[in-house]
Amino acid sequence: MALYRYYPIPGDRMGFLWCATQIKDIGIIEFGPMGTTNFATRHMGQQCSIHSTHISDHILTFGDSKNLELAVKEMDDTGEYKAIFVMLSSSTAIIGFDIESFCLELQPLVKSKLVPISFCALGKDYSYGINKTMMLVMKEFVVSYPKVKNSYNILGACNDEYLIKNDVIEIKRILKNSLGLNANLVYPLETSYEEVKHASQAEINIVLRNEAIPVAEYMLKEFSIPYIIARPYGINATCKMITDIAQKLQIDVNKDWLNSQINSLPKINNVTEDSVCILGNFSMIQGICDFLNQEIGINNICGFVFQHTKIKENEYIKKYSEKLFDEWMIDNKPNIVLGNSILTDYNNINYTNNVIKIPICKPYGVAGRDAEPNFCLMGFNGYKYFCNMYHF
Amino acid sequence: MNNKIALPRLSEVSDYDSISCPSKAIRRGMHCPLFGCTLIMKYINDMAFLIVGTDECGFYSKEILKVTSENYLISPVYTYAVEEYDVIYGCSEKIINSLKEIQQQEKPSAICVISTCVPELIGEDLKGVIKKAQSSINTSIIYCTAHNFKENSHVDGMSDLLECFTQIMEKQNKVSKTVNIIGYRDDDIINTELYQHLMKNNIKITTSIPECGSVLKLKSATSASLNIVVDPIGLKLAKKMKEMFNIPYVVFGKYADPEKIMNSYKKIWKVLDIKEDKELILKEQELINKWNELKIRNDKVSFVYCNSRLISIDLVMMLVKYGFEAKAVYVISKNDFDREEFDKLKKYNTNPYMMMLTDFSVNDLLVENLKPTLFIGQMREQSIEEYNVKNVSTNEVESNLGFCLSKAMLDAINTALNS
Repeated sequence: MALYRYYPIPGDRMGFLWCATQIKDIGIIEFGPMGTTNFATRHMGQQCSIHSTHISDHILTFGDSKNLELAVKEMDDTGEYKAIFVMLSSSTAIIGFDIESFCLELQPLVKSKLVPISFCALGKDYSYGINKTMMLVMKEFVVSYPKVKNSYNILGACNDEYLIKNDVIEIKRILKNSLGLNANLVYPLETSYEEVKHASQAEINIVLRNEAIPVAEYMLKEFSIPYIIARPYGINATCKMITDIAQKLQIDVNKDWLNSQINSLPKINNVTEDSVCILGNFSMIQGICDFLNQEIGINNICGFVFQHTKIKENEYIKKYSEKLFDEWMIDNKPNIVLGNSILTDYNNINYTNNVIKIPICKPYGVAGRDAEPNFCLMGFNGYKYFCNMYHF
Repeated sequence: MNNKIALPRLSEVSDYDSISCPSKAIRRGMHCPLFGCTLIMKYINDMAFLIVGTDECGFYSKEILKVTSENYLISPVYTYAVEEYDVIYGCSEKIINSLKEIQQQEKPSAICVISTCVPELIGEDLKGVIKKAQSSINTSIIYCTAHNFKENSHVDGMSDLLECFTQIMEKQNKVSKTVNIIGYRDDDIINTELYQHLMKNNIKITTSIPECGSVLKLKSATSASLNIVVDPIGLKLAKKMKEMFNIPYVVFGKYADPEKIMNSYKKIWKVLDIKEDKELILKEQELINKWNELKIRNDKVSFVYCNSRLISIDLVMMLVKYGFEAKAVYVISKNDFDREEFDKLKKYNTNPYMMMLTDFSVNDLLVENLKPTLFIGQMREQSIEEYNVKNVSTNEVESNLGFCLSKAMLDAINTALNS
């Protein structure tokens, strides 16, 4: 569907930017109008600088790449960038500008590694963009290093998820205390060219979302790094993550610590009347649905997958469409909502004062103005947060 | 200048539209024309908008509406997200269906279709689509372009959207002693010198565009005797209304030059048959005297101009006229008032660096190298201290229309110089 009243599903370009802007020592130059770059600098990550050449109809008509060449050289001359992503915009993608050949021809004249990026935001969604970007960056930058004992990578920690920074902090805390493990790389979140380059040092990869599975497969094949898939919402999934890693690495779990964590957690009762709506990416929804249904016991759940990707629907998971979403919201009037601004700011129904609203993905709030969140939803602290919200 | 960025001087710039960015790799850049259109959307409550563009166009527009509008999620701003199929085969039927859906859902008084980079580039005949749609949709549909490869910034977007409002206007009988205020978007207009002057002379304000609030109010604009254009975003609309409905216009810009302000008042008096206002004539003379005091300063004052509430080039010319040295002048985002003043600046005895401000990091580089006495515009506190430059920021000058604003700016400059 292409007509949106609320937010459109973000496209592949935004997926790319959510990943790439998290990597320090990388620059991005967009061959396109500066308006979209302006938006991106305000709404995407701050680790990596985004530039634009701007564009005119002369350039679009004749495919004149002189400005792009000068822009790349200007960035390269600063010495700040190990690599420069040379990115098309929708306009330059439509005219068929050959960004790959451009980079190939210019590479001998610059020190930074030039990486052509040709997402065009014409139908493919951010999930596709994240998937392709993670793989591209891995293939371009990662080299073989000796393994560092007791280390792991988190793959698929992506900035489109509103709570991801705090979720990662919680995962790190759990793995340090339960298994004595240290994070080698959290990808692609607040990382750097050097960290990504050393990704092969890890003993195991922890995959947080489907988009990162191809990267994990690639690292298994190229660097013999095994992986597990985890989305640790709730006690059960968190414990499963710990035991899966322990099994793969053949290490012991610190059961005392684990038990002390679990025993300190509150319980939730009387959930039969609850109704939950979730809006987010597929992995997020699957994990939260499992937690709320199997662990907490809530049955009336609907997770709308905010992606264009083909998915296998079931009683809890549906593909997002505004019509379906509006109908469900009006019929069910949920008292627990987890999602982006479409859910938290939804005003076709009157949310009661008791409704629990948990932002879990972007867009949420006002970029650059609102404070960062101070809670997580994954792990034991995430479970605790949910219980506290529920009991209030 | 000891830097790797080549900056042209005024003498090397042939026309206003040739003023360009200082760097080829532009960091941040100016806002897109669609941004400008989105800023205007909140003012017309019963007009629905259909953005035809990529998902990003719609996504970012909603993000802007989140800040500018209440109930942004259900504000009647829709996006038709163009896909690859549409680029290859066209999307006219889908657009028509979208318009029908919007009409059913919102029952708006009008629908505005905003065409962005992608449909403009592929040559989608949206005008033709609208004409076809109009036969089955009982709501006025108007059309506006907002493509960033022909237009510069959000200012152009606002200007173009205002101009396209003429598509729903119809000729009406003129009501004497009535005016439209075109382009006003600041604080309450009733506090401005211009408004109070009009009220004093029993001039009725038919409507203020874009703040009019409704399609009906927009349509009522054609009954006014005069358009007073107070912001560059209104100039295209005023010119179009002159062409279509023979409504004269007077530019009442935010001038620094008291003579230009008085000139604007005189034009208003002539059209509306108002007697000369002795109080305003006195105000003009007082202000001219105050500006003249700048000439008798002993010190040599130089400045870099970034931005202010006033018409940039007019303020620059005033300062040069009174002996200040212009070292560099930024164009924040090109606008029609500056465009009209540019040729006059070329004739002045001044040759500053001229550039389009798209990269705030160049600010510091300029101040460090050029060492101006004064920096007029937004500057970080840290930089002000580091480079020991006197700063006149926009925040220190309250918005107004008329001599008050010029005086407020002059006071701010004097305060900075004496600090």
